[in-house]
Amino acid sequence: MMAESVLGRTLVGTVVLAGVLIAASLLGLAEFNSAVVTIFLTDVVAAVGLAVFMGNSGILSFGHPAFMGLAAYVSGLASMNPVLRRATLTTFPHLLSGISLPFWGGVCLAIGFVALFALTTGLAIVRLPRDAAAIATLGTLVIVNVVLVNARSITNGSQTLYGVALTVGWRGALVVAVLCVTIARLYREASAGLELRASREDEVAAAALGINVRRRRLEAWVLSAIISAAAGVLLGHFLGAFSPAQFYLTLTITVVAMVIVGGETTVSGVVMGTILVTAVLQVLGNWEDGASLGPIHIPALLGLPTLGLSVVLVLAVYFRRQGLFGRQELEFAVAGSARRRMSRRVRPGAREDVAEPLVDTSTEDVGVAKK
Amino acid sequence: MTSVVQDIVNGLGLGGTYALLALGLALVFSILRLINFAYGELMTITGYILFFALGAGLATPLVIVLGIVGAGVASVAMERAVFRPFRNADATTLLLTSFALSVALQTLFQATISANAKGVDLSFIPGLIFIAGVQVGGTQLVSTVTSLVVLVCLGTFLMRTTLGVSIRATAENFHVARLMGIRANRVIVSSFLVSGLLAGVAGVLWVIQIASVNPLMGTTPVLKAFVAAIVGGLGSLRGVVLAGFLLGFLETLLQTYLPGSASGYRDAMLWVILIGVLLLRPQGLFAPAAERA
Repeated sequence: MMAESVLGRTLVGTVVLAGVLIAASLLGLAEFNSAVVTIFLTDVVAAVGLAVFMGNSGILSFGHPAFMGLAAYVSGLASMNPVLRRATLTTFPHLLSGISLPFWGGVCLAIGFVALFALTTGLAIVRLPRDAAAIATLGTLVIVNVVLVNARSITNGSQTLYGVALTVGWRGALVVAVLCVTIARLYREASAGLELRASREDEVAAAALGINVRRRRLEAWVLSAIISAAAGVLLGHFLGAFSPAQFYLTLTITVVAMVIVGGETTVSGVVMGTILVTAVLQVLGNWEDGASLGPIHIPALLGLPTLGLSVVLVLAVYFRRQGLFGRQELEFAVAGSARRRMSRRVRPGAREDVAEPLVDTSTEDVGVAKK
Repeated sequence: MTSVVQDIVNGLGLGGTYALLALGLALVFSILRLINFAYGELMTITGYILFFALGAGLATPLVIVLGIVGAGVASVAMERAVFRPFRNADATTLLLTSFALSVALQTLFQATISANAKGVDLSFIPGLIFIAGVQVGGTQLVSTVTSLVVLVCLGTFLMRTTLGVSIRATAENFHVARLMGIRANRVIVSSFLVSGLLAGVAGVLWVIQIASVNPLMGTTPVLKAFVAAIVGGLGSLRGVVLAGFLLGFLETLLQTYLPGSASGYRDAMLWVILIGVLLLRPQGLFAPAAERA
């Protein structure tokens, strides 16, 4: 399954990332408020979900906010107080009005529903070549949005659905975020994840090695959908009220930016990318009503965060396509550079005038994606 | 009998608009492998030019010309400012860049102009026209005729003029075309210009239909144009046009014959059809037999 040292290193890496998340959350609580931190942690889960598919398979996906939306609506509706539900949704179908689940029941139902939906759509998407697959994921997003908007009796259509149970706070979101980061790290280093990453680098060679590319992609699609569903449940039960527009293009570009800026191929990249993008959005959000930076006056601009996000995305893609942590997970980058420094200092018998070997054998890069 | 003629004209009118858009998308894709998400925003730019020009009191014909030319200029500007730095990037990077550009433009329109729709009154077309004793929507008829005329002109341009043939050659094989002495930049800029003009015409037709302009109006038709372009096979310009008309007919038929409650799902059905086609023929329905990978 996994070499001992790799498993050990992965767990160390996971602990490091958990530490980063906890530190970021505490900092966020001090600097901002618990709402910002909860949304941040939800975004981490969403970004991790997207990266589990996009980063490992190399296929761009616009469809993951659809999973979030579906999960939010299913969970929100299933666990909503039936009296409140009847009052808000006057034409709620009789067949479903008997359903009233406790919070965790609703969550399980939502995740199961999304997993089934992902399996169905995934069977189609994994067969397509890369360009077509990306467009097909956009199609998934559009289809789900159209359904959510038109199933008025169940979802309240394009209007906001109120009355969802407010059961999520920053602590719960933190636990889920750490859990999802762990799952993503373990998946990445497991043989299934490695095979998928091989297919990302060279699809033909991977298939020639006997890797079942379609099956690996389907596994990643469903797993990523489940994680995205968790993000949707978190978001839904934190906000308490939402509409289909919140799970459409704005959310898509936000999550995609977080993944790309940080580095889609590593989980560390995704976490750091989310931290960076959240910070940028907070700053731009404060400037939305206009701000003065010394002599420079920034006029009020509605939608400045989204605009800034698009600019950041284009700059990131232009200057550093692999993202901040595109090559290695966090612990490799740190350990690798430390080892390099040590090996230069202590080399018994090394002569000063002899050149360094051409091949750098001092770092151990396990599972590094060459970009 | 009446409704059949009306359906045909409506289908052709809508299909014509989709064909124009799909052609514009395919033209750029065939040369650069770039799917321009921001294409819909060119229509929106046309719409706003129409709005402001009418507001300034200019005559209708001039307003329309300005709108179309404006879209062409904007398209060339997009290429120069945003897409040229990414000239040799892979497909995913290009998708991301054009997606970001699309979102940025939509946000800019909402912020600098208005998030609400603005009325645009181009009412020089009679509401109803009689053909062979049958009532037909005036705007649909104009849309149909305009699309067909533009497509014929474009066909002539691509077949007979040097620049048009250069574009087709570059679309078929970029490197060999350059070896033949074709100036790559000139061809790329020209194709962006042509695709921009097509978006401009489609934009004018669309604005006439909905009599207004709003920041997000480009999204829906361009998504449909994607469907048409991909179903038609992005490499084949003729296939793309055919697919555009097919899509227009399909949508009109669904609109007419679907029961009222299900009509909202029309767009979802179109996408399901697209995914279905992609499953059976990933290269599209009408793609040329010899397709590069």
